[in-house]
Amino acid sequence: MRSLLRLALWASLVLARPGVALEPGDRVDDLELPALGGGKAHLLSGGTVAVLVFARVGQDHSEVALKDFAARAAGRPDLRWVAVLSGDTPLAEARALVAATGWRMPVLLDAGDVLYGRLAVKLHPTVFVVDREGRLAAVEPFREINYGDRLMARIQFTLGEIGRAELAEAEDPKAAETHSDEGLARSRVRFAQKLLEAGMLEQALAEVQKSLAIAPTGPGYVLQGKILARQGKCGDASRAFDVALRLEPKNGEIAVEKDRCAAEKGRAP
Amino acid sequence: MCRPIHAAAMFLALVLAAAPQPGSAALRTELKRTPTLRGPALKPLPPSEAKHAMAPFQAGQCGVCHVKNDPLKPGPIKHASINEECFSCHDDVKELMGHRYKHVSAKDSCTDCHNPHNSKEPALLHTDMVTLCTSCHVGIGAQVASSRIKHAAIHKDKKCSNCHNPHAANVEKLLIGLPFNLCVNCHSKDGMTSADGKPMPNYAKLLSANAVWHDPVKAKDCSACHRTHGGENYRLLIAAYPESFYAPFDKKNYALCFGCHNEKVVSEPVTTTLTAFRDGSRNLHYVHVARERGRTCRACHEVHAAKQAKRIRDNVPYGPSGWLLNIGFTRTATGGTCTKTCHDTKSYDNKSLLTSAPSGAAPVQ
Repeated sequence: MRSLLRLALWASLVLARPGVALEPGDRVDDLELPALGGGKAHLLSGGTVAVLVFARVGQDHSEVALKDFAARAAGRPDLRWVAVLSGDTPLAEARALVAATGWRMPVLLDAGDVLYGRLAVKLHPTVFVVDREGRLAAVEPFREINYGDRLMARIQFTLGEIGRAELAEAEDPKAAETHSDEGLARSRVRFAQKLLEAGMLEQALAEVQKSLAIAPTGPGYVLQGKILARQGKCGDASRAFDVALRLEPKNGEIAVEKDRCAAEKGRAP
Repeated sequence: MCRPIHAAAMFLALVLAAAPQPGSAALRTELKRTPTLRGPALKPLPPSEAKHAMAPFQAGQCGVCHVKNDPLKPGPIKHASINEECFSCHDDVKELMGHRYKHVSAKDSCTDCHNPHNSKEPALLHTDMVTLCTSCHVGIGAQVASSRIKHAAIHKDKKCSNCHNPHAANVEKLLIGLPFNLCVNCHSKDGMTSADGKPMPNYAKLLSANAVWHDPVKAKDCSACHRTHGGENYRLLIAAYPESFYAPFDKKNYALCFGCHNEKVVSEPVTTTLTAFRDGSRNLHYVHVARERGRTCRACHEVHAAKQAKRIRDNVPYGPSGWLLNIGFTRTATGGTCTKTCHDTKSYDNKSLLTSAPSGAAPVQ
């Protein structure tokens, strides 16, 4: 009897592949598991991308993530969203989690934590994205920041809705700097433009020079050239237009302004 | 010569209207209730008090924004809304507002935060930035004010906007970038110390020298473990984590780790699925941690990054003087070995039958 028990234990240790994480592209077994609402349900749904959310009761991260995903799932009914809880989760606590998060999709209970073992799930929450062919596409462990955005980008990438560049942008979004010299310089140029429109040439020139001191921009030099041209200083204007042209070689307006200034100078008595 | 006269005239014209103090609770309430009454609250400060001014205001050019160029009666603004008026020059901010996450106040009205004429504060804010932000973000204000462990970044340099873009951003919580990009930007200097005076690593160096990163670090998600506005736990951790090498096992002491990791990895004496640190089915995490004089996570694992898989340490500071105790761990195909330091050299094997049931020192439940 003891030898039989030892053999059974050996078999469970050697054959069960415990703790071996699946790699993207590996097939995910479509297990049939008890559902919280009663009966049994399959993990996957053939031909549909599945989003498997492994969550835990009594844990803030799981609750926050489920609440967020529940809202996002409402906008993506084309996906199979499933929450998976450990088989030993008290049913009352599982129901409380569902109620607190507004999760309306299936909740499956992993009896004996078989699925947890097969997928080597050690963190909560962890999301497995399974493609239409039943192969693992991505694993997304918990993130405090931008978790939902990253998950949705990963799902969209799996569906071919976005490319690698958009996925990379979602995973590490471009910085949104609070202040840039270029932005400040642009504002000064805009103000100088308004002064020019009001015929206040001296003030406009002073303002555009402040702008160029902050950041030498093409629009800054163009405006400086225009103001100087209005003041009849065509040589200085021409030099400003030349600098602008180096900064913005494709800006056709610069050559026009330069020519206009030269023509007006030619007409001058 | 003209500028002070213009500024003084504008001040006199606008100061006549009694107005709630910018940034005050009364102002906030008023803004919400009657947005059209924003004007009086936006009066310019006396020139002697103002340190910063909007360029057109300073130049006496009321007509840039208002329908008249008369400082005594400038009339309404030219555009249909305050923001349209501001964006007619500040088009960089208008572009910024195209980002995914937008600050409600910035969307609503620039003047919720900025005085369009002049101010004592940079960026023409109504008040000091921390005071201004926390006048709405009351919970954060309480956290900043009352937390045991402070984060110095909140009160220095650009204050809140060291990390947040108060207009809009591509990252939740209006963060300028993902937390890692912001945190390591500052925490990449030698000689930094924490609030309690203890040395802090240069994280740029630490991470470049150690290739195996903790998952939240890989995800640039420092906020998964750290509460950046201030907190009650050592190193601004969001939840409890033992500071020392030994600690009695109580899952509350490990709330930080168990926020993501399954507590069963420590609490179950026997497993074949929860961990690979087991001899047969004997859970060696349980053996080490779940006892009165339990070894804490830090005894074997580096938190941020290490050279070995599972971030097993090469050595660990031990005792009051922080002497470095070698761990001497070597991984094998189905287990591992620890050389003699904490205990005699011991090996374990996931597929072993010899120690498949708990034995030896009885762990404390």
